[in-house]
Amino acid sequence: MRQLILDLLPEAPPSLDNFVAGSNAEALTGLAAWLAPTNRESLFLLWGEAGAGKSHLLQASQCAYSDARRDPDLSTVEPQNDCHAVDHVEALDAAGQIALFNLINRLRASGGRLLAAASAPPRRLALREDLRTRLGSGLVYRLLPLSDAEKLAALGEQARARGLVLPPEAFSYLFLRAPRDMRSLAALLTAIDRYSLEQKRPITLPLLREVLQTSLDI
Amino acid sequence: MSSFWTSCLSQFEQELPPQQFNTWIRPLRLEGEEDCARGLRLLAPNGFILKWVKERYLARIEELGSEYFSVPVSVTLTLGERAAAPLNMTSGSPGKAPPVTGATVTSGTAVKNASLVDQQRSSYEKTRLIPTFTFDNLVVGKANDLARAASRQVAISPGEATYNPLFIYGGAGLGKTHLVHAIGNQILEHDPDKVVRYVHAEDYYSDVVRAYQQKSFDVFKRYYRSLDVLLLDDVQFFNNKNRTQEEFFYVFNALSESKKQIVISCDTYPKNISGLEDRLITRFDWGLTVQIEPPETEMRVAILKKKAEVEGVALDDEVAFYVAKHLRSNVRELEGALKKVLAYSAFHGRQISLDLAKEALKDLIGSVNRQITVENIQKTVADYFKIKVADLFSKKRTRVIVRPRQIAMWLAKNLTSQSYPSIGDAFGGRDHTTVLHAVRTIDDLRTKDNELNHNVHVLLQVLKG
Amino acid sequence: MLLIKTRRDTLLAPLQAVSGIVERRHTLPILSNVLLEKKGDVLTFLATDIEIQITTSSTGAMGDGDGAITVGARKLQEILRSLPESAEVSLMLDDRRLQVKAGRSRFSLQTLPADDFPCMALSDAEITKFTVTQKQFRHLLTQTSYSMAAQDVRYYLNGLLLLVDDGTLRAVATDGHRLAYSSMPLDDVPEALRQEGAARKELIVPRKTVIELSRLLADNDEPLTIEMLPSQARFQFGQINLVSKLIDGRFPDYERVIPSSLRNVVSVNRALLLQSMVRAAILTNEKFRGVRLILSEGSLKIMAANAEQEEAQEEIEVDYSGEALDVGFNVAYLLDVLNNTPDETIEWGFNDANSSALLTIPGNDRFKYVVMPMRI
Repeated sequence: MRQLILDLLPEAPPSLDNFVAGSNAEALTGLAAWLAPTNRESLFLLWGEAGAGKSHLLQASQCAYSDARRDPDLSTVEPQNDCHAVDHVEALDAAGQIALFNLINRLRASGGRLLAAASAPPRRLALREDLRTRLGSGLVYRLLPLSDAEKLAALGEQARARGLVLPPEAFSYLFLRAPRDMRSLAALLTAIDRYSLEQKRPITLPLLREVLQTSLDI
Repeated sequence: MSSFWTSCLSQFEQELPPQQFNTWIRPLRLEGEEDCARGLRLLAPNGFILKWVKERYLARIEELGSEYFSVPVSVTLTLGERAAAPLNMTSGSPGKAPPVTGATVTSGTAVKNASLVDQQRSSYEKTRLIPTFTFDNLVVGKANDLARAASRQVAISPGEATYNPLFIYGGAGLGKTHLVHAIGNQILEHDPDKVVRYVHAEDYYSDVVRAYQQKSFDVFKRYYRSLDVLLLDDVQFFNNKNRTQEEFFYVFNALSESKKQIVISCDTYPKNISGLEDRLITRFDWGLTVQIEPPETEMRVAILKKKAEVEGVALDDEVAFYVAKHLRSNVRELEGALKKVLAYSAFHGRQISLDLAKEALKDLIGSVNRQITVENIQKTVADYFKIKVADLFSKKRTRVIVRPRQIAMWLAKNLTSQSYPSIGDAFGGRDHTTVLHAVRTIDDLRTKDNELNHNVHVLLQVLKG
Repeated sequence: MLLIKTRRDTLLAPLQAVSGIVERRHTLPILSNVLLEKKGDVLTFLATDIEIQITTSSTGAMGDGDGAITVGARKLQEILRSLPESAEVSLMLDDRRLQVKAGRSRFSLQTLPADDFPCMALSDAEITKFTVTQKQFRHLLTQTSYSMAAQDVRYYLNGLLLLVDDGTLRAVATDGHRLAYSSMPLDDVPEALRQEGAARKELIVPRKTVIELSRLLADNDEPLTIEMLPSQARFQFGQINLVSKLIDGRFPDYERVIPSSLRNVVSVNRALLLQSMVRAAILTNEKFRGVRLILSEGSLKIMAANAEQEEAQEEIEVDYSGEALDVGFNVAYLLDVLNNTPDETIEWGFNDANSSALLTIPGNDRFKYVVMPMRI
């Protein structure tokens, strides 16, 4: 028998606070300046490999967020917003590409903004040409994934934010055994949090081992 | 008020490139008195800046504080509303209350007289014209010379039969929209009473749908027929939207009969638009059809220099040439690349130079700028015309094969550094005169045959990436 | 110097009131002591564990001059307790030793100087203050405190949330598996909270403070004054003044986990259910303590089995005709609520076997108990 837990653990929604910059100083400074009211550029595109933090930054930007992976035709986009964040533009379908094309035109005309994220730089995106060139017309920055040391720091930060105390050796333990992109590591931390609450046990290496076994089984 | 903080700011201003200083340090505010015994409290406008400063600059601030007060000073950073920073990212919710309005289109200042913004908004609502797209800031070159001349003519005397409609076509990102807006803006400048309306084909379609749903076709028709100038952008978006095409057909007839100007832009020439009724295509050819081609290198250089000038930056020829050389296919990405170079220079606080441009664009250009080879020209051309690569080498002389073969040879000559004989070799061991003939034939046909010219154009874009 | 001469109980009662919080072993030896301070005819007792500080006093001190000293709390308490009830006790301070005399008994205890005793600094900025009866607040604690976490890494769960808002005092405790909520109206609504739109005040009282308060509060209508301070709470009742540090953290959003709609509700006689549970609990697995509840038309079955394959089954007649349900629970969580609720009937509302159950008292929306099931 397994005790279920109440849904009251703190969620850590992506914010600019809990983003670890790593070697992305240039991109982040660019983004911070772009998000400022004084900015005149309407389009900002981040590209980089999965787990580099693109979705995190888009969700933290406070722009109306849409994810083309879940919503490839962008049917959920509410055009009246002034700032839009569209994630995974490479996953847009034909209708979604037209929708984004229109959105960009509208935002340009009305002084609104688009923050986009893609898996590749605009030149290598397999999108319709009029959209692809538009995406390449604004500020384009590459987001580099964190180094291992930076990931450790980021994970420690997230644990602290959850009010968790992990033994110092826990991080290197996890690192050797779990997928090392930030997204998986953060998901693992959530699983550890939940499991420790379920078991009413402090977080120890044996507990981590149990979590890893169950989460890797899935 | 706070002399330490003032001196601290000026110290950072010296130590950091302007963009970094403006982004991270300037938004900070000192709270309360400068009492070194109790420590200093700095307010950051948002968590992002707070975290960043804590990680990278806090130690330096404490160092400066200790120097200033001659005793160790502790500095704490907290989030604070009072930090009425120019870079307030988290304030408000951009989703609802617009932090940025039409003001950004024309002006760099964030705070703007509200009535002016309103005014701009309402005039924008009426015409949908973007005021910054004018003939003055359009860079002219061989690629858009004809289109520009025709557009100017239309702007001076709208409604003349020889230019009605004016049909402007060309690939993505070459400045069609700019031209279309420039026409509208100039007409209004001459005669503010003219009723001008810019409409993107997708928005026109939405209007039709709305009229259909709200059963308000009368209002819709009356509105569009009341215009003096209709500027319709990206008409290729009408494909297979039959009801929209029909509505537009009537608007077109009504306007042209009453000698009202119609300007249409498209990504291809009329006969090549897919999913469009013949009667519309015929009408699109009534007036003048002009093409915008991808800009040649000199023009791209000129565009870059002009854009840089607008940003208040002087761009060296060699930098402009480097960027222009690597971004060939369209103006939009050219602008994106320039923005990147400017931002990179601002971030690092370094002058723009060729080396800096190379560093700034390495992610953008880098691996992507693959070598164009005869081999991938052959493959691309074969794919495009839906024939086999082997056909290009073969002795077949049917027209379906000959033209693509000639186009492929023309592309090989223009995009690679191969000689005529080596191109001949690469096409099944043909003589160099065959290649020479092919190149001349295509050069000649491009000026006469719209369809062929379009095909070459698309292939150029694809190959140049 | 004679500090006091009085009946045993006059000393023992206040000493017992303060010494509950004294830790048996502490890195600071002086914290095992109680501070005795004589001023005129008042003798004050003060004990602290740094997190909590309790002060109480008794009158009737005698002797000339004032003084203060600290002495081992437990030893003094044991001595007093083992003296005859009617004994007259005198405490004398004599060359850094405390002499306890009663009849022909003599005790000489080590002391530590009063100046070394750590007293908590009281924060002066008052946030809000209100008065309830001891009985009311005690009831609030009884209904909720059993749901507090004990030693969770999430320090904010090891305490009780007190929330003042809209003329209501609410208490919430949760360990992540279950949550208890209880509220009471405040007659004496603090001025600051009476204005419309006044922000609600909330604080998390540490577990140890809650347990100590439950022990000290009487079941009577005497007043208890609660002061909420920025990082402390102060409780004044009878002769006792208790100051506690607070848990600095964000309590989870408890409203989110109280189910707002329930598909099925069944009423059960509490005593009947409690007795059945107690019996079934005997044969639950020691580690998981799971019981199975099988609800069907007119009947509630409670089944338990342990690791040795021994089984228990109880059946209660219920007035129920809704959906059938087969669900597992930790029996301890059910016993807790049944034991600490005085009412005759309990309502059990639920949606399905994987979502939380809500236990309430009919006609009373001031108490709510949410408990998550176990997956069978």
